[in-house]
Amino acid sequence: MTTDSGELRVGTRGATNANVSAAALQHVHMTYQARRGENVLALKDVSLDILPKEFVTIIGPSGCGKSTLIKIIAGLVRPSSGEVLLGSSEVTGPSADVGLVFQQPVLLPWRNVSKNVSLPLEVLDSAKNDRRAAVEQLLDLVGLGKYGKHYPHELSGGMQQRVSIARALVHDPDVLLMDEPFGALDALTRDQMSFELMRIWSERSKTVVFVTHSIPEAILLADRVVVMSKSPGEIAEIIDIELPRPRRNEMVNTPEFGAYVQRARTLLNAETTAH
Amino acid sequence: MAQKVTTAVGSVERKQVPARRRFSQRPIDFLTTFAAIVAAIALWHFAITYFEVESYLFPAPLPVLNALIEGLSDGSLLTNGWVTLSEVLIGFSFGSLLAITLAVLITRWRFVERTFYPFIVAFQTVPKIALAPLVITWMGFGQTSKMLMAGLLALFPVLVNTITGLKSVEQDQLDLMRALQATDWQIFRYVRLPRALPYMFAGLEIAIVFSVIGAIVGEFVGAKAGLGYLIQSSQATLDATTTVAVLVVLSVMGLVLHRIVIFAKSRLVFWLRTDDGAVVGV
Ligand SMILES: Nc1ncnc2c1ncn2[C@@H]1O[C@H](COP(=O)(O)OP(=O)(O)OP(=O)(O)O)[C@@H](O)[C@H]1O
Ligand SMILES: [Mg+2]
Repeated sequence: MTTDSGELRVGTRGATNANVSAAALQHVHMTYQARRGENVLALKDVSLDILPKEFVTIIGPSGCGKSTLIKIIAGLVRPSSGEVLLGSSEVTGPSADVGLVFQQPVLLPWRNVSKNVSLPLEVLDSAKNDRRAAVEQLLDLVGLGKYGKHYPHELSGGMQQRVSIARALVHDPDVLLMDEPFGALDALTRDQMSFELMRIWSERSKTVVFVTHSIPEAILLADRVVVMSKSPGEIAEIIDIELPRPRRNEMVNTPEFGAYVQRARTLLNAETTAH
Repeated sequence: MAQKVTTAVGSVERKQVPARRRFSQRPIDFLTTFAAIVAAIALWHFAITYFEVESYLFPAPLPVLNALIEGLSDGSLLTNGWVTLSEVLIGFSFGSLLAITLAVLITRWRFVERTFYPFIVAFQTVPKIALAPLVITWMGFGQTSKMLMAGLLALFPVLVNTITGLKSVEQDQLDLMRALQATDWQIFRYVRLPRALPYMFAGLEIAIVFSVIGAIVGEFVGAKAGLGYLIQSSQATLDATTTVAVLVVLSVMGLVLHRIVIFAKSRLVFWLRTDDGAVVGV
Protein backbone atom coordinates (compact mmCIF):
# COMPACT_ATOMS: atom_id res chain seq x y z
CA MET A 1 0.00 0.00 0.00
CA THR A 2 0.93 3.65 -0.09
CA THR A 3 3.21 5.54 2.16
CA ASP A 4 0.44 7.02 4.22
CA SER A 5 1.15 10.21 6.09
CA GLY A 6 -2.00 11.13 7.90
CA GLU A 7 -0.06 12.33 10.94
CA LEU A 8 2.13 14.57 8.85
CA ARG A 9 -0.86 16.21 7.24
CA VAL A 10 -2.71 16.75 10.54
CA GLY A 11 0.45 18.03 12.10
CA THR A 12 1.20 20.57 9.39
CA ARG A 13 -2.25 21.82 8.53
CA GLY A 14 -1.76 25.16 10.22
CA ALA A 15 1.94 25.37 9.58
CA THR A 16 3.89 27.22 6.91
CA ASN A 17 3.70 26.10 3.34
CA ALA A 18 7.12 24.50 3.39
CA ASN A 19 5.93 21.29 5.00
CA VAL A 20 2.47 21.08 3.46
CA SER A 21 1.87 18.62 0.67
CA ALA A 22 0.79 20.11 -2.63
CA ALA A 23 -2.15 17.74 -2.81
CA ALA A 24 -3.25 14.88 -0.64
CA LEU A 25 -5.90 12.19 -0.74
CA GLN A 26 -6.90 10.40 2.44
CA HIS A 27 -8.87 7.14 2.17
CA VAL A 28 -10.76 8.34 -0.84
CA HIS A 29 -13.56 6.14 -2.12
CA MET A 30 -15.55 6.92 -5.21
CA THR A 31 -18.72 5.16 -6.22
CA TYR A 32 -20.52 6.23 -9.38
CA GLN A 33 -24.27 5.87 -9.43
CA ALA A 34 -24.80 4.14 -12.77
CA ARG A 35 -28.06 4.67 -14.55
CA ARG A 36 -29.31 1.11 -14.41
CA GLY A 37 -29.08 0.96 -10.64
CA GLU A 38 -25.76 -0.86 -10.31
CA ASN A 39 -23.04 1.17 -8.69
CA VAL A 40 -19.50 1.35 -10.02
CA LEU A 41 -16.75 1.43 -7.44
CA ALA A 42 -14.18 3.51 -9.31
CA LEU A 43 -11.74 4.18 -6.47
CA LYS A 44 -11.23 2.16 -3.31
CA ASP A 45 -9.38 3.57 -0.33
CA VAL A 46 -6.90 5.68 -2.24
CA SER A 47 -4.41 7.61 -0.12
CA LEU A 48 -1.70 9.62 -1.79
CA ASP A 49 0.48 12.47 -0.66
CA ILE A 50 1.92 14.63 -3.40
CA LEU A 51 4.75 16.88 -2.33
CA PRO A 52 5.23 20.42 -3.59
CA LYS A 53 7.22 20.51 -6.83
CA GLU A 54 6.90 16.79 -7.21
CA PHE A 55 6.31 15.11 -10.57
CA VAL A 56 3.97 12.18 -10.05
CA THR A 57 2.83 9.94 -12.87
CA ILE A 58 -0.06 7.51 -12.72
CA ILE A 59 -0.34 4.35 -14.77
CA GLY A 60 -2.94 1.63 -14.65
CA PRO A 61 -5.26 -0.40 -16.85
CA SER A 62 -8.11 1.31 -18.67
CA GLY A 63 -11.06 1.98 -16.43
CA CYS A 64 -9.12 1.76 -13.16
CA GLY A 65 -10.12 5.27 -12.15
CA LYS A 66 -7.22 7.45 -13.26
CA SER A 67 -9.43 10.15 -14.77
CA THR A 68 -11.67 9.97 -11.74
CA LEU A 69 -8.67 10.56 -9.49
CA ILE A 70 -7.64 13.61 -11.52
CA LYS A 71 -11.15 15.03 -11.42
CA ILE A 72 -11.34 14.52 -7.68
CA ILE A 73 -8.09 16.40 -7.09
CA ALA A 74 -9.34 19.11 -9.48
CA GLY A 75 -12.47 19.44 -7.35
CA LEU A 76 -14.75 18.61 -10.28
CA VAL A 77 -15.98 15.38 -8.71
CA ARG A 78 -16.77 14.97 -5.03
CA PRO A 79 -15.53 11.66 -3.64
CA SER A 80 -18.09 9.43 -1.93
CA SER A 81 -15.91 9.42 1.16
CA GLY A 82 -12.44 10.42 2.23
CA GLU A 83 -10.62 13.69 2.34
CA VAL A 84 -8.92 15.69 -0.40
CA LEU A 85 -6.51 18.52 0.27
CA LEU A 86 -4.95 21.02 -2.06
CA GLY A 87 -2.16 22.87 -0.34
CA SER A 88 -3.38 23.31 3.19
CA SER A 89 -7.08 23.62 2.46
CA GLU A 90 -9.72 21.00 1.89
CA VAL A 91 -10.99 20.66 -1.66
CA THR A 92 -14.67 21.53 -1.83
CA GLY A 93 -14.72 22.68 -5.43
CA PRO A 94 -12.44 23.67 -8.29
CA SER A 95 -9.59 26.09 -7.76
CA ALA A 96 -7.97 28.38 -10.30
CA ASP A 97 -4.56 27.37 -8.89
CA VAL A 98 -4.92 24.19 -10.88
CA GLY A 99 -4.20 23.74 -14.57
CA LEU A 100 -6.17 20.88 -16.05
CA VAL A 101 -5.59 18.90 -19.23
CA PHE A 102 -8.53 16.64 -19.97
CA GLN A 103 -8.25 13.28 -21.67
CA GLN A 104 -10.00 14.89 -24.68
CA PRO A 105 -8.88 18.33 -25.88
CA VAL A 106 -12.24 19.97 -24.92
CA LEU A 107 -11.70 23.07 -27.04
CA LEU A 108 -14.48 25.54 -27.72
CA PRO A 109 -15.09 25.17 -31.48
CA TRP A 110 -16.32 28.78 -31.88
CA ARG A 111 -13.04 30.25 -30.58
CA ASN A 112 -9.84 30.23 -32.56
CA VAL A 113 -6.67 28.70 -31.16
CA SER A 114 -5.42 31.91 -29.52
CA LYS A 115 -8.80 32.57 -27.98
CA ASN A 116 -9.01 29.02 -26.69
CA VAL A 117 -5.65 29.37 -25.02
CA SER A 118 -6.51 32.74 -23.52
CA LEU A 119 -9.82 31.48 -22.10
CA PRO A 120 -8.47 30.96 -18.56
CA LEU A 121 -7.03 34.49 -18.59
CA GLU A 122 -10.32 35.95 -19.71
CA VAL A 123 -12.28 34.02 -17.12
CA LEU A 124 -9.81 35.05 -14.42
CA ASP A 125 -10.01 38.59 -15.79
CA SER A 126 -6.33 39.31 -16.27
CA ALA A 127 -5.05 42.35 -18.14
CA LYS A 128 -5.43 42.28 -21.92
CA ASN A 129 -1.83 43.09 -22.80
CA ASP A 130 -0.44 40.36 -20.59
CA ARG A 131 -2.81 37.94 -22.24
CA ARG A 132 -1.48 38.30 -25.77
CA ALA A 133 2.15 37.84 -24.75
CA ALA A 134 1.38 34.80 -22.62
CA VAL A 135 -0.70 33.19 -25.36
CA GLU A 136 1.92 33.75 -28.05
CA GLN A 137 4.68 32.38 -25.87
CA LEU A 138 2.74 29.22 -25.08
CA LEU A 139 1.68 28.62 -28.67
CA ASP A 140 5.33 28.78 -29.68
CA LEU A 141 6.13 26.38 -26.89
CA VAL A 142 3.68 23.75 -28.13
CA GLY A 143 4.82 24.33 -31.73
CA LEU A 144 1.65 26.06 -32.90
CA GLY A 145 2.95 29.61 -33.21
CA LYS A 146 1.50 30.01 -36.71
CA TYR A 147 -1.90 28.56 -35.85
CA GLY A 148 -3.31 31.23 -33.57
CA LYS A 149 -5.99 32.28 -36.04
CA HIS A 150 -7.04 28.74 -36.94
CA TYR A 151 -10.16 27.13 -35.53
CA PRO A 152 -10.13 23.79 -33.73
CA HIS A 153 -11.90 21.96 -36.57
CA GLU A 154 -8.99 22.91 -38.84
CA LEU A 155 -6.47 21.11 -36.61
CA SER A 156 -5.49 17.49 -36.23
CA GLY A 157 -6.24 15.64 -33.01
CA GLY A 158 -2.65 15.97 -31.80
CA MET A 159 -2.59 19.70 -32.53
CA GLN A 160 -5.85 20.14 -30.63
CA GLN A 161 -4.36 18.34 -27.67
CA ARG A 162 -1.35 20.65 -27.76
CA VAL A 163 -3.69 23.65 -27.69
CA SER A 164 -5.30 22.24 -24.58
CA ILE A 165 -1.87 21.83 -22.97
CA ALA A 166 -1.07 25.47 -23.71
CA ARG A 167 -4.42 26.46 -22.21
CA ALA A 168 -3.67 24.55 -19.01
CA LEU A 169 -0.39 26.41 -18.60
CA VAL A 170 -1.46 29.92 -19.57
CA HIS A 171 -2.55 31.14 -16.15
CA ASP A 172 0.63 29.75 -14.60
CA PRO A 173 -1.05 27.44 -12.07
CA ASP A 174 0.93 25.89 -9.23
CA VAL A 175 -0.49 22.44 -9.78
CA LEU A 176 -0.83 20.77 -13.17
CA LEU A 177 -3.24 17.86 -13.50
CA MET A 178 -2.76 16.15 -16.84
CA ASP A 179 -4.90 13.26 -18.01
CA GLU A 180 -3.06 11.46 -20.81
CA PRO A 181 -2.03 14.77 -22.36
CA PHE A 182 0.23 13.19 -24.96
CA GLY A 183 -2.11 10.37 -25.89
CA ALA A 184 -2.88 11.76 -29.35
CA LEU A 185 0.67 12.76 -30.26
CA ASP A 186 3.20 11.04 -32.51
CA ALA A 187 6.38 9.69 -30.91
CA LEU A 188 8.56 12.63 -31.97
CA THR A 189 6.24 15.38 -30.78
CA ARG A 190 5.60 13.37 -27.66
CA ASP A 191 9.30 13.37 -26.81
CA GLN A 192 9.59 17.09 -27.51
CA MET A 193 6.58 17.87 -25.37
CA SER A 194 7.81 15.66 -22.54
CA PHE A 195 11.05 17.57 -22.28
CA GLU A 196 9.30 20.94 -22.62
CA LEU A 197 7.00 19.92 -19.80
CA MET A 198 9.93 18.89 -17.61
CA ARG A 199 11.63 22.20 -18.38
CA ILE A 200 8.55 24.21 -17.40
CA TRP A 201 8.10 22.06 -14.33
CA SER A 202 11.62 22.64 -13.06
CA GLU A 203 11.89 26.31 -14.13
CA ARG A 204 8.59 27.43 -12.71
CA SER A 205 8.58 24.88 -9.85
CA LYS A 206 5.19 23.35 -10.40
CA THR A 207 3.62 20.23 -9.03
CA VAL A 208 2.56 17.82 -11.75
CA VAL A 209 0.20 14.86 -11.63
CA PHE A 210 0.37 13.12 -14.98
CA VAL A 211 -1.66 10.16 -16.22
CA THR A 212 -0.25 8.03 -19.01
CA HIS A 213 -0.56 4.61 -20.61
CA SER A 214 3.10 4.48 -21.52
CA ILE A 215 5.37 2.84 -18.95
CA PRO A 216 8.62 4.38 -20.27
CA GLU A 217 7.01 7.83 -20.34
CA ALA A 218 5.76 7.40 -16.78
CA ILE A 219 9.25 6.48 -15.59
CA LEU A 220 11.19 9.03 -17.60
CA LEU A 221 9.10 11.94 -16.31
CA ALA A 222 8.44 11.00 -12.73
CA ASP A 223 9.81 11.37 -9.26
CA ARG A 224 7.27 8.72 -8.32
CA VAL A 225 5.13 6.39 -10.42
CA VAL A 226 1.78 5.42 -8.98
CA VAL A 227 0.72 2.03 -10.32
CA MET A 228 -2.99 1.44 -10.04
CA SER A 229 -4.94 -1.79 -10.22
CA LYS A 230 -8.31 -2.45 -11.70
CA SER A 231 -11.77 -3.08 -10.31
CA PRO A 232 -11.89 -1.63 -7.87
CA GLY A 233 -9.35 1.11 -8.56
CA GLU A 234 -6.68 0.93 -5.89
CA ILE A 235 -3.08 1.98 -5.66
CA ALA A 236 -1.06 -1.20 -6.19
CA GLU A 237 2.31 0.33 -5.55
CA ILE A 238 4.23 3.56 -5.70
CA ILE A 239 7.65 3.31 -7.32
CA ASP A 240 10.28 5.89 -6.43
CA ILE A 241 12.30 6.77 -9.51
CA GLU A 242 15.84 7.62 -8.52
CA LEU A 243 17.22 8.55 -11.91
CA PRO A 244 19.24 11.77 -11.94
CA ARG A 245 17.84 15.04 -13.24
CA PRO A 246 17.73 16.53 -15.76
CA ARG A 247 16.43 13.46 -17.49
CA ARG A 248 17.68 12.72 -20.98
CA ASN A 249 16.36 10.46 -23.68
CA GLU A 250 19.46 8.21 -23.53
CA MET A 251 18.56 7.17 -19.99
CA VAL A 252 15.93 4.92 -21.49
CA ASN A 253 18.74 2.55 -22.48
CA THR A 254 20.33 2.27 -19.04
CA PRO A 255 19.94 -0.91 -16.95
CA GLU A 256 18.37 1.10 -14.12
CA PHE A 257 15.67 2.33 -16.44
CA GLY A 258 15.13 -1.18 -17.75
CA ALA A 259 14.71 -2.45 -14.21
CA TYR A 260 12.06 0.17 -13.49
CA VAL A 261 10.20 -0.72 -16.68
CA GLN A 262 10.38 -4.39 -15.76
CA ARG A 263 9.02 -3.73 -12.30
CA ALA A 264 6.14 -1.60 -13.53
CA ARG A 265 5.27 -4.10 -16.23
CA THR A 266 5.23 -6.99 -13.78
CA LEU A 267 2.97 -5.03 -11.47
CA LEU A 268 0.60 -4.11 -14.27
CA ASN A 269 0.49 -7.65 -15.64
CA ALA A 270 -0.25 -9.04 -12.21
CA GLU A 271 -3.03 -6.52 -11.82
CA THR A 272 -4.62 -7.15 -15.18
CA THR A 273 -4.50 -10.94 -15.04
CA ALA A 274 -5.59 -11.20 -11.42
CA HIS A 275 -9.19 -10.35 -12.29
CA MET B 1 10.29 20.83 -36.35
CA ALA B 2 10.07 18.83 -39.56
CA GLN B 3 6.71 17.63 -38.36
CA LYS B 4 5.44 21.18 -38.05
CA VAL B 5 6.12 21.81 -41.71
CA THR B 6 4.22 18.76 -42.86
CA THR B 7 1.16 19.69 -40.85
CA ALA B 8 1.24 23.19 -42.29
CA VAL B 9 1.26 21.81 -45.79
CA GLY B 10 -1.52 19.43 -44.87
CA SER B 11 -3.81 22.22 -43.76
CA VAL B 12 -3.18 24.26 -46.88
CA GLU B 13 -4.12 21.30 -49.01
CA ARG B 14 -7.26 20.72 -47.01
CA LYS B 15 -8.37 24.25 -47.78
CA GLN B 16 -7.61 24.18 -51.48
CA VAL B 17 -9.39 21.03 -52.46
CA PRO B 18 -12.95 22.07 -51.66
CA ALA B 19 -12.34 25.52 -53.16
CA ARG B 20 -11.41 24.02 -56.50
CA ARG B 21 -14.41 21.74 -56.41
CA ARG B 22 -16.69 24.63 -55.54
CA PHE B 23 -15.67 26.59 -58.63
CA SER B 24 -16.25 23.71 -60.98
CA GLN B 25 -19.57 22.74 -59.43
CA ARG B 26 -21.33 26.06 -58.95
CA PRO B 27 -22.01 26.99 -62.63
CA ILE B 28 -23.27 23.50 -63.39
CA ASP B 29 -25.61 23.59 -60.38
CA PHE B 30 -26.86 26.97 -61.48
CA LEU B 31 -27.42 25.88 -65.08
CA THR B 32 -29.34 22.79 -64.01
CA THR B 33 -31.61 24.83 -61.79
CA PHE B 34 -32.17 27.41 -64.51
CA ALA B 35 -32.97 24.75 -67.10
CA ALA B 36 -35.44 23.12 -64.72
CA ILE B 37 -37.27 26.40 -64.18
CA VAL B 38 -37.49 27.10 -67.93
CA ALA B 39 -38.77 23.57 -68.56
CA ALA B 40 -41.41 23.92 -65.84
CA ILE B 41 -42.66 27.22 -67.30
CA ALA B 42 -42.79 25.70 -70.79
CA LEU B 43 -44.69 22.70 -69.47
CA TRP B 44 -47.08 25.07 -67.67
CA HIS B 45 -47.65 27.02 -70.91
CA PHE B 46 -48.35 23.96 -73.04
CA ALA B 47 -50.56 22.33 -70.43
CA ILE B 48 -52.77 25.44 -70.21
CA THR B 49 -53.11 25.79 -74.02
CA TYR B 50 -53.45 22.04 -74.69
CA PHE B 51 -56.19 21.45 -72.11
CA GLU B 52 -57.76 24.86 -72.83
CA VAL B 53 -57.89 25.79 -69.15
CA GLU B 54 -60.07 28.85 -68.48
CA SER B 55 -58.01 31.77 -67.22
CA TYR B 56 -60.20 32.25 -64.11
CA LEU B 57 -59.23 28.73 -63.05
CA PHE B 58 -55.52 29.02 -63.76
CA PRO B 59 -53.69 31.52 -65.99
CA ALA B 60 -50.95 30.86 -68.54
CA PRO B 61 -47.42 32.07 -67.78
CA LEU B 62 -47.48 35.02 -70.18
CA PRO B 63 -50.50 36.82 -68.72
CA VAL B 64 -48.99 36.27 -65.29
CA LEU B 65 -45.79 37.91 -66.48
CA ASN B 66 -47.86 40.81 -67.84
CA ALA B 67 -49.73 41.13 -64.56
CA LEU B 68 -46.38 41.11 -62.75
CA ILE B 69 -44.95 43.87 -64.93
CA GLU B 70 -48.13 45.89 -64.63
CA GLY B 71 -48.33 45.44 -60.88
CA LEU B 72 -44.70 46.42 -60.46
CA SER B 73 -44.96 49.47 -62.72
CA ASP B 74 -48.18 50.84 -61.27
CA GLY B 75 -46.72 50.21 -57.81
CA SER B 76 -49.60 48.08 -56.45
CA LEU B 77 -47.43 45.00 -55.99
CA LEU B 78 -44.63 47.06 -54.48
CA THR B 79 -46.69 49.01 -51.94
CA ASN B 80 -48.67 45.95 -50.90
CA GLY B 81 -45.51 43.85 -50.90
CA TRP B 82 -43.87 46.37 -48.60
CA VAL B 83 -46.87 46.27 -46.27
CA THR B 84 -46.58 42.50 -45.93
CA LEU B 85 -42.79 42.54 -45.74
CA SER B 86 -42.75 45.07 -42.91
CA GLU B 87 -45.34 43.04 -41.01
CA VAL B 88 -43.21 39.93 -41.45
CA LEU B 89 -39.95 41.62 -40.47
CA ILE B 90 -41.29 43.35 -37.38
CA GLY B 91 -43.31 40.33 -36.27
CA PHE B 92 -40.40 37.96 -36.85
CA SER B 93 -37.91 40.20 -35.04
CA PHE B 94 -40.04 40.73 -31.97
CA GLY B 95 -41.24 37.13 -31.90
CA SER B 96 -37.70 35.74 -32.12
CA LEU B 97 -36.28 38.21 -29.62
CA LEU B 98 -39.02 37.38 -27.14
CA ALA B 99 -38.47 33.67 -27.77
CA ILE B 100 -34.72 33.90 -27.16
CA THR B 101 -35.21 35.97 -24.02
CA LEU B 102 -37.80 33.52 -22.69
CA ALA B 103 -35.52 30.59 -23.51
CA VAL B 104 -32.66 32.19 -21.57
CA LEU B 105 -34.86 32.91 -18.56
CA ILE B 106 -36.40 29.45 -18.64
CA THR B 107 -33.08 27.64 -18.74
CA ARG B 108 -31.55 29.99 -16.17
CA TRP B 109 -34.11 29.71 -13.40
CA ARG B 110 -35.89 26.53 -12.50
CA PHE B 111 -38.93 28.36 -11.18
CA VAL B 112 -39.42 30.23 -14.46
CA GLU B 113 -39.29 26.90 -16.24
CA ARG B 114 -41.79 25.36 -13.84
CA THR B 115 -44.12 28.34 -14.17
CA PHE B 116 -44.01 28.79 -17.93
CA TYR B 117 -43.13 25.48 -19.50
CA PRO B 118 -46.51 23.77 -19.00
CA PHE B 119 -48.19 26.68 -20.78
CA ILE B 120 -45.67 26.59 -23.59
CA VAL B 121 -46.15 22.88 -24.10
CA ALA B 122 -49.94 23.25 -24.03
CA PHE B 123 -49.90 26.26 -26.32
CA GLN B 124 -47.51 24.65 -28.77
CA THR B 125 -50.13 22.20 -29.96
CA VAL B 126 -52.73 24.93 -30.57
CA PRO B 127 -52.87 25.77 -34.27
CA LYS B 128 -51.86 29.42 -33.94
CA ILE B 129 -53.36 30.18 -37.38
CA ALA B 130 -56.78 29.62 -35.84
CA LEU B 131 -56.20 32.59 -33.54
CA ALA B 132 -56.17 35.02 -36.47
CA PRO B 133 -59.87 36.03 -36.22
CA LEU B 134 -59.46 36.70 -32.49
CA VAL B 135 -56.30 38.72 -33.03
CA ILE B 136 -58.00 40.81 -35.74
CA THR B 137 -60.90 41.43 -33.38
CA TRP B 138 -58.54 42.68 -30.69
CA MET B 139 -56.13 44.71 -32.78
CA GLY B 140 -58.19 45.73 -35.78
CA PHE B 141 -57.61 45.67 -39.53
CA GLY B 142 -54.29 47.54 -39.40
CA GLN B 143 -50.78 46.16 -39.56
CA THR B 144 -50.41 45.56 -35.83
CA SER B 145 -52.64 42.49 -35.87
CA LYS B 146 -50.59 40.96 -38.72
CA MET B 147 -47.33 41.66 -36.90
CA LEU B 148 -48.76 39.93 -33.88
CA MET B 149 -49.69 36.91 -36.00
CA ALA B 150 -46.25 36.81 -37.61
CA GLY B 151 -44.59 37.08 -34.20
CA LEU B 152 -46.84 34.46 -32.66
CA LEU B 153 -45.95 31.95 -35.35
CA ALA B 154 -42.25 32.77 -35.13
CA LEU B 155 -42.17 32.47 -31.35
CA PHE B 156 -42.51 28.75 -30.82
CA PRO B 157 -39.96 27.25 -33.18
CA VAL B 158 -37.31 29.66 -31.90
CA LEU B 159 -38.29 29.16 -28.27
CA VAL B 160 -38.30 25.37 -28.33
CA ASN B 161 -35.07 25.08 -30.33
CA THR B 162 -33.20 27.65 -28.25
CA ILE B 163 -34.23 25.91 -25.03
CA THR B 164 -32.93 22.62 -26.44
CA GLY B 165 -29.68 24.33 -27.46
CA LEU B 166 -29.13 26.05 -24.13
CA LYS B 167 -29.67 22.73 -22.36
CA SER B 168 -27.34 20.78 -24.61
CA VAL B 169 -23.98 21.80 -23.13
CA GLU B 170 -21.34 19.12 -23.05
CA GLN B 171 -20.30 18.02 -19.59
CA ASP B 172 -16.61 18.35 -20.51
CA GLN B 173 -17.04 21.97 -21.57
CA LEU B 174 -18.90 22.69 -18.34
CA ASP B 175 -16.12 21.01 -16.37
CA LEU B 176 -13.58 23.14 -18.19
CA MET B 177 -15.38 26.31 -17.12
CA ARG B 178 -16.01 25.05 -13.61
CA ALA B 179 -12.34 24.21 -13.21
CA LEU B 180 -11.60 27.88 -13.87
CA GLN B 181 -14.20 28.90 -11.31
CA ALA B 182 -16.17 30.68 -14.01
CA THR B 183 -19.27 32.55 -12.94
CA ASP B 184 -22.69 31.55 -14.29
CA TRP B 185 -22.59 34.57 -16.55
CA GLN B 186 -19.20 33.56 -17.95
CA ILE B 187 -20.39 30.02 -18.55
CA PHE B 188 -23.41 31.44 -20.35
CA ARG B 189 -21.37 33.82 -22.46
CA TYR B 190 -18.44 31.58 -23.32
CA VAL B 191 -20.18 28.22 -23.65
CA ARG B 192 -23.96 28.02 -23.40
CA LEU B 193 -24.88 30.77 -25.82
CA PRO B 194 -22.48 29.87 -28.66
CA ARG B 195 -23.34 26.24 -28.15
CA ALA B 196 -27.05 27.10 -28.55
CA LEU B 197 -26.54 29.15 -31.74
CA PRO B 198 -26.93 26.27 -34.24
CA TYR B 199 -30.15 25.21 -32.54
CA MET B 200 -31.37 28.80 -32.42
CA PHE B 201 -30.82 29.15 -36.15
CA ALA B 202 -32.64 25.90 -36.85
CA GLY B 203 -35.59 27.60 -35.13
CA LEU B 204 -35.13 30.92 -36.94
CA GLU B 205 -35.14 29.15 -40.30
CA ILE B 206 -38.56 27.71 -39.59
CA ALA B 207 -39.72 30.92 -37.95
CA ILE B 208 -39.07 33.17 -40.94
CA VAL B 209 -41.26 30.97 -43.15
CA PHE B 210 -43.93 30.76 -40.45
CA SER B 211 -43.92 34.56 -40.06
CA VAL B 212 -44.84 35.00 -43.71
CA ILE B 213 -47.69 32.53 -43.26
CA GLY B 214 -48.84 34.39 -40.14
CA ALA B 215 -48.92 37.77 -41.85
CA ILE B 216 -50.74 36.43 -44.93
CA VAL B 217 -53.36 34.59 -42.88
CA GLY B 218 -53.87 37.75 -40.84
CA GLU B 219 -54.45 39.68 -44.06
CA PHE B 220 -56.88 37.04 -45.31
CA VAL B 221 -59.01 37.43 -42.22
CA GLY B 222 -59.25 41.18 -42.50
CA ALA B 223 -56.95 43.85 -43.93
CA LYS B 224 -56.83 47.02 -45.96
CA ALA B 225 -53.52 46.32 -47.70
CA GLY B 226 -50.85 43.68 -48.19
CA LEU B 227 -50.21 40.75 -50.52
CA GLY B 228 -52.74 38.58 -48.68
CA TYR B 229 -55.30 41.34 -49.16
CA LEU B 230 -54.43 41.49 -52.89
CA ILE B 231 -54.96 37.74 -53.24
CA GLN B 232 -58.36 37.99 -51.59
CA SER B 233 -59.54 40.99 -53.61
CA SER B 234 -58.37 39.44 -56.90
CA GLN B 235 -60.19 36.23 -56.07
CA ALA B 236 -63.36 38.25 -55.44
CA THR B 237 -63.28 39.26 -59.14
CA LEU B 238 -62.15 35.78 -60.26
CA ASP B 239 -58.88 37.34 -61.45
CA ALA B 240 -56.66 34.27 -61.09
CA THR B 241 -53.95 35.92 -63.16
CA THR B 242 -53.36 38.59 -60.52
CA THR B 243 -53.61 35.96 -57.77
CA VAL B 244 -50.81 33.93 -59.31
CA ALA B 245 -48.73 37.07 -59.92
CA VAL B 246 -49.03 37.91 -56.23
CA LEU B 247 -48.11 34.33 -55.35
CA VAL B 248 -44.95 34.69 -57.39
CA VAL B 249 -43.99 37.85 -55.49
CA LEU B 250 -44.82 36.14 -52.23
CA SER B 251 -42.65 33.10 -52.90
CA VAL B 252 -39.73 35.26 -54.02
CA MET B 253 -40.08 37.20 -50.77
CA GLY B 254 -40.17 34.00 -48.71
CA LEU B 255 -37.20 32.60 -50.58
CA VAL B 256 -35.08 35.70 -50.11
CA LEU B 257 -35.91 35.97 -46.40
CA HIS B 258 -35.06 32.31 -45.86
CA ARG B 259 -31.79 32.77 -47.74
CA ILE B 260 -30.87 35.72 -45.54
CA VAL B 261 -31.37 33.62 -42.41
CA ILE B 262 -29.28 30.80 -43.90
CA PHE B 263 -26.57 33.28 -44.81
CA ALA B 264 -26.51 34.70 -41.29
CA LYS B 265 -26.33 31.15 -39.98
CA SER B 266 -23.38 30.24 -42.16
CA ARG B 267 -21.59 33.34 -40.89
CA LEU B 268 -22.36 32.95 -37.20
CA VAL B 269 -22.22 29.17 -36.92
CA PHE B 270 -19.12 28.88 -39.07
CA TRP B 271 -17.52 26.11 -37.03
CA LEU B 272 -20.06 23.54 -38.18
CA ARG B 273 -19.56 24.39 -41.84
CA THR B 274 -18.74 21.50 -44.14
CA ASP B 275 -16.46 21.68 -47.16
CA ASP B 276 -19.13 22.92 -49.55
CA GLY B 277 -20.10 25.80 -47.28
CA ALA B 278 -23.34 24.29 -46.02
CA VAL B 279 -23.89 24.46 -42.30
CA VAL B 280 -24.56 21.12 -40.70
CA GLY B 281 -27.97 21.05 -39.10
CA VAL B 282 -28.55 19.83 -35.60
N1 LIG C 1 -19.59 9.85 -14.90
C1 LIG C 1 -19.53 8.52 -14.65
N2 LIG C 1 -20.65 7.83 -14.35
C2 LIG C 1 -20.59 6.51 -14.08
N3 LIG C 1 -19.48 5.79 -14.10
C3 LIG C 1 -18.33 6.40 -14.41
C4 LIG C 1 -18.30 7.79 -14.71
N4 LIG C 1 -17.02 8.14 -14.98
C5 LIG C 1 -16.31 7.00 -14.88
N5 LIG C 1 -17.08 5.96 -14.53
C6 LIG C 1 -16.62 4.59 -14.28
O1 LIG C 1 -15.57 4.64 -13.34
C7 LIG C 1 -14.52 3.76 -13.71
C8 LIG C 1 -13.25 4.54 -13.84
O2 LIG C 1 -13.33 5.46 -14.91
P1 LIG C 1 -12.16 6.42 -15.31
O3 LIG C 1 -12.61 7.26 -16.43
O4 LIG C 1 -11.69 7.11 -14.09
O5 LIG C 1 -11.08 5.38 -15.81
P2 LIG C 1 -9.62 5.63 -16.43
O6 LIG C 1 -8.65 4.94 -15.55
O7 LIG C 1 -9.42 7.07 -16.67
O8 LIG C 1 -9.72 4.84 -17.81
P3 LIG C 1 -8.97 5.17 -19.20
O9 LIG C 1 -7.55 4.77 -19.06
O10 LIG C 1 -9.67 4.30 -20.19
O11 LIG C 1 -9.15 6.62 -19.46
C9 LIG C 1 -14.96 3.09 -15.01
O12 LIG C 1 -15.45 1.81 -14.69
C10 LIG C 1 -16.06 3.95 -15.53
O13 LIG C 1 -17.04 3.17 -16.16
MG1 LIG D 1 -9.16 8.23 -18.30
